[in-house]
Amino acid sequence: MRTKMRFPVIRALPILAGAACALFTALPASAQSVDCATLPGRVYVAGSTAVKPFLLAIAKNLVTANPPITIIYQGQGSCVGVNYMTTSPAGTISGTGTYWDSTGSADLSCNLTAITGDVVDIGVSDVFASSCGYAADPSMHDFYGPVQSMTFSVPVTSTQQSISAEAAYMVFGFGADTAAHTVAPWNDATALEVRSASSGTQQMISAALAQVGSGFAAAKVKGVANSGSGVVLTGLTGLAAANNQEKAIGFLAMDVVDTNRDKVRPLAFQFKGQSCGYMPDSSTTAFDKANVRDGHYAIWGPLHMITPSTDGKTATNANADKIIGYLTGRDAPAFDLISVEATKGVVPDCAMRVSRTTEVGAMASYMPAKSCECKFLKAATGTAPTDCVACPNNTDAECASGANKHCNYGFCEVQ
Amino acid sequence: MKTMHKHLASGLAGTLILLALACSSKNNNNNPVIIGTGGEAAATGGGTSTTDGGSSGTGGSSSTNGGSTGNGGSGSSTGGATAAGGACVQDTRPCHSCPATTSDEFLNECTPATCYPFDNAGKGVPSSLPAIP
Repeated sequence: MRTKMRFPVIRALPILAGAACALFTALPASAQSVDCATLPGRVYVAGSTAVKPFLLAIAKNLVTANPPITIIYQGQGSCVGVNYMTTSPAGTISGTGTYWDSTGSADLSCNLTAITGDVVDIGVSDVFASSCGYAADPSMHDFYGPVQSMTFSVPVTSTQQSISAEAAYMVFGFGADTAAHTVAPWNDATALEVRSASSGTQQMISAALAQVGSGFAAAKVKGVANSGSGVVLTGLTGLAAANNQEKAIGFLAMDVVDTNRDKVRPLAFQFKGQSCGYMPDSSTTAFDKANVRDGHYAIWGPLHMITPSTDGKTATNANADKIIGYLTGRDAPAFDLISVEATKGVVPDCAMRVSRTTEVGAMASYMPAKSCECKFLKAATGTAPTDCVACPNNTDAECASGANKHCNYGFCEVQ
Repeated sequence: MKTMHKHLASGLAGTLILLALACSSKNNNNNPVIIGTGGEAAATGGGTSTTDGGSSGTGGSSSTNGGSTGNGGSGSSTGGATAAGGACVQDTRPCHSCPATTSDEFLNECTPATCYPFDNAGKGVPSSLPAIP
């Protein structure tokens, strides 16, 4: 579904509209034969649409675990996901849920509980609850997962290479309403494929652009509002097909970009105070997320998984806790999660070298307790860097003669 | 790519000495590979910008006197692909060559990664941004 909304509107309206839109899309499109309640190890997850490619990759592994865990998902936008977790018990989802089998080759549908709905176990968001204007219920805890980066993306046929925060502020803040407010070639508001204020992608990008001028907010973004990342992708490819690739630009999470490199690519982003623009990766063809991991690319943040927790360390729901444990790095899954993350455009905490605690906020140098940089790079790029020393037997003794003494995930790491 | 932080954390005295020497001047010319607005050129490694915009590279070498080491530039992947009239810009801007500790330093730290400058003034972006209504 594609909504053609024009901004600005009041802040709350897009969020409500996003929820309504999500409810509409959740209605059965065709006859459903599976009740979600019959699936084993159910965990109800709702929120970010940007997280879907990554979530699918995780889900198809979890469904083969012993005992199996089935992720039942509704993509509704990050802020809708956060909103569910502002009460205790959490809010409910109804209509149709999406789940995946061990192949992950197709979205499967199941019927959620009619009338009353099913309580959301994990609200997933690409942004902090505060960015949505909410506060999670005190009984909830916000667990941080892998890092997602948000991009200004263009069709692969566009010749544009970079955009500055200042230029993006003008393009998406004014929508080329006057000549003085126009930055070429993005001079057509109907070619700006954006989301809504309920979108974490739009919230995070807006948090960046709000730092270069006055009054920029997710609810004020100009352009064609889309209900999900997939629709933005469709919009950009449609513009390219109509030979409007130069003025086409949209908001996309990097995991969506990475799974659609044949259609779109991210522009380099030049943030406030930055002398040059950088893409999330070190080059147009790389998958190393080097500039996210070392702080050259500014628009990134951890996945937020909000779930009931009494101690802030474990999720109350045992199956949800397994997911939380894996995605926070607390527990090691039986499958190769780092490779899944690396090949789906997100970065595990163990491969990061900068950290931050607020939305597109100040960065600090960071070294995780158990680094996985070499493992991540080998999985993401296919080849480990030459300065990565393998320790195939997974013993620290194999690293004794080198500078990096700890064998982590098959490579010698600093710690 | 191994970051400078990793080298620092390894505690190698020699690395620290080299760092101290490199950091005697806050900025140096060991800049990222800069790609001009008209085309994409091959990189030849950290710290070196190509000037002809059309020659292909083979990957590039690691920087040795800056704040970051790595597995070289990114030029080989797209080397030679140049848009009409495009030429790479010889970068003259400094990069931050010491271990970064602030956001501005992380954003501008020397790196072998490809970067693409956006010319705000040339693109007509106001120097003083108007408030969003």
